[in-house]
Amino acid sequence: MARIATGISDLNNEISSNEFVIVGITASWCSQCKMIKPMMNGIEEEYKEKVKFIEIDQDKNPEISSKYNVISLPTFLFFVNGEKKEVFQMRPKSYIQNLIKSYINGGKND
Amino acid sequence: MIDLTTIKNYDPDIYASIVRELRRQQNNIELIASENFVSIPVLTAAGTHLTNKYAEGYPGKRYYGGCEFVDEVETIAIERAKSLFNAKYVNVQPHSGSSANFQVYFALLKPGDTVLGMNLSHGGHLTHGSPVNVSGQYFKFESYGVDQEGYIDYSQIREKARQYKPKMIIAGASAYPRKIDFSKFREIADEFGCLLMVDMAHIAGLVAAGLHMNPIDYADVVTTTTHKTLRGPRSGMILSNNEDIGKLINKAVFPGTQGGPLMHIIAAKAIALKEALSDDFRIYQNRIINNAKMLATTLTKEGIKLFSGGTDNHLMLIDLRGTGIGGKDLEIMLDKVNITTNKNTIPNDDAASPFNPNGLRVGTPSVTTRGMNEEEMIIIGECLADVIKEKEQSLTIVKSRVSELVNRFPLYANDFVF
Repeated sequence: MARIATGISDLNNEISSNEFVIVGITASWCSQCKMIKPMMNGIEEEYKEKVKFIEIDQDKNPEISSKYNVISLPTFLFFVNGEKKEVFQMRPKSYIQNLIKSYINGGKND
Repeated sequence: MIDLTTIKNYDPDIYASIVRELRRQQNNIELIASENFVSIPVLTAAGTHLTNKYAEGYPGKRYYGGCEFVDEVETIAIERAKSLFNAKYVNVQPHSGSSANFQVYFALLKPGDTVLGMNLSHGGHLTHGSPVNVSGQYFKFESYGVDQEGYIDYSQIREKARQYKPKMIIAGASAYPRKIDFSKFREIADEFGCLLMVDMAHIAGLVAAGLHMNPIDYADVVTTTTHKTLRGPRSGMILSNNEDIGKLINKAVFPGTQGGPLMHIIAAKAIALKEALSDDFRIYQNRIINNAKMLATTLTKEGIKLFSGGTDNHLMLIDLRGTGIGGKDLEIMLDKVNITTNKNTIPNDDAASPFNPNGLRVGTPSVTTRGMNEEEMIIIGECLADVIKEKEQSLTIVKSRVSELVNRFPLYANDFVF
């Protein structure tokens, strides 16, 4: 994921200034995070016009994990117009694509 | 500690297979509802020198000398089973649940008698009158099933009892996700003068923990396996509160259908029964049920259909109709990601072949034994849903999630010497 947030205010700024944001909470020691990264990069490439992808390191920003009740890594948060709509962990590419499509096509916006 | 070094030195072929099977159990998420992982004391007892001792007969009345110590073991096993299930008469010698069922038939029926049991394709068991089983060939079995919602149809049982006048009605199932009301079975049996046998194999652990209606309060005779939710060695037991039936059962087990009992397995049973009498066991059985509920909730949330809409016990039946994958192919695909399940018929699904039915049975006893809780059931539910919906595409991600889970909840981690 291209953009790495530097802290919670940076992250809040991104969430409030973009319609669709996917935040990936990861850590350097997390092997599943490494495994899913290329797939998430592919999804980002596909949807970058519509969705902002941001990665944040849990170890550097522990307050973010507690704010969003993150209990395992990686955890992905999907924000729509500043509001957290979905939380998911390790899911297949088509699951994540379908989830994104359901929001950017307006079908699941409320 | 289970020491495998003597096997390794003497028989490397069998050693290699035993170790591979251990690795399979450790590395897989085991969701077969009838399986479980026994404790090290149970496992150790099953491998002891008690296998050497012939003890035809019963404690104090044996046909061989030297039985004084195995008598102690069998007596303890009987007393523990009586106290656990609140039963007056218990026979702990049946080699398996199937043996126990045949022993009841041998004790209480004559060949050709009519028996009413649950249809195998509705969740019953092979030994409850399937035409390919000896039960279906020696006795005239009629069957009842579940209604369209997936619940046992008690009015159908009453109608069939009226129509066929069975000598015995059998309650108990191997793929039924709901509670069974044994009191209703008793009413029907009384109305038509039938004996009531309950095969509680699947739910024996739940019954022991007081989390399911105890069949001993209603049935003339109860059979069970000692593995499954009860978490003992692979074996069987027969229980009754009727003294006459208790005597007939003892004769039917030995000399009726068995010779020497497996004393090492009876020792393992006794230890499992001690575990089942503990407070921890009640907590464990409660977790099995809560985990099953969470797994069912997760699957439903993911859009996966469950037969009867959910579960009250340790298992559920996934209805695969409309998902584009059958039970056989899904079982094989889940094997590839180290999730072990079994395909199962969906009741009233007459179009499906029994070799590729539209159901998948999953249960939570084994994953609960590993220490997994509701959070992990969400992960397992998502993994199952992803494989059902996304098929091949999901396998890499799901396999990685499975591997993370089994590493976090190790099984027999330091219990073997290789």
